[in-house]
Amino acid sequence: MKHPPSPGRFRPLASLVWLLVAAGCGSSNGGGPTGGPVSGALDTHCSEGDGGVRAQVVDLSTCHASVPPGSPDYGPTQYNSEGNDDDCKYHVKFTGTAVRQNENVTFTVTAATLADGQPAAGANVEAEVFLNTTHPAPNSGQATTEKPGGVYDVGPIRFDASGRWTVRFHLHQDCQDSTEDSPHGHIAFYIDVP
Amino acid sequence: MGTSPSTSTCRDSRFPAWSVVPVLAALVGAGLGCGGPRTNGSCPNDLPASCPATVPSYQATVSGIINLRCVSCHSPGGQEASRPLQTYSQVYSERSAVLNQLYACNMPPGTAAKPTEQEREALLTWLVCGAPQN
Repeated sequence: MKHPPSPGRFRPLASLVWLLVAAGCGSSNGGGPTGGPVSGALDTHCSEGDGGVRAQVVDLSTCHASVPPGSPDYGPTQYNSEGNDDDCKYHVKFTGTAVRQNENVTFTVTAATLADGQPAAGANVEAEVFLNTTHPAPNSGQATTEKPGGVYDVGPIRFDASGRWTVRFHLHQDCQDSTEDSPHGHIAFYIDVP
Repeated sequence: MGTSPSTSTCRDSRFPAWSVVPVLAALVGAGLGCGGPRTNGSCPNDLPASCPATVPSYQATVSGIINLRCVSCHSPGGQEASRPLQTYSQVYSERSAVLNQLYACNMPPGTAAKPTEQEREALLTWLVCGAPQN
């Protein structure tokens, strides 16, 4: 399925703006440098040669469908602060509070179905956060609060070391991630922590 | 690095200009009633700080725990058949996700039987050690 590129599909300055805002809005915990999304190549993995977008329609009824064995792979971790999920089901963008080591961070995630641009409501967005394959983020009582418009506050999240972290947002995590039209979606972004 | 609550007056100004529209929409509709927060509750921060000298054996210990706690779903015919955890290579390829989900108490899910403290410690230690084929 194709549809024209959405106006807000790519925001090359988004990460820069995100960093500037975060830097100017530091908490009282001593300030210092803040991190955030890593600027880099734009996400084009759902783009078609003709300028359209390849979008996978999701079917909520397949959430718990019986599925054959397979190996659904995660896509590459993305730069910046918005992009399309690994399977081209959703467009996801996020903002957040100031990113500093060992301080609580809350991400505000906005998700829309890529096929029609409608808010992805009821998606139970959760964040899987890790520095590398042996270093997940500490448990911090992460909770998700859904707001209207496919908007989710996810946090608190704590980064307990400096470095380039990965934050993978899962949508409909409770659904099986197997059939092509499963509502389960996931998209990962780099977050630099000073 | 402190953990005290922020007193920044700008704390709620975390939204860059380009995200004002959805944020405003969210604020306007905040009273319409949405689901409450979802949380992973009181999941312990019990990740080993480093890999100890004695690493749990995959063959003798870890594989048995995974077979007991994970494979019923993570195998053909199971609810997570697409992410099988029946062999070492399958577990190794998913080691990061296994660690993240186990440590965050997201797996095993729901009402499924949870690993005992000893099982959890063994799994987390083995994963922190890089999931060796030992």
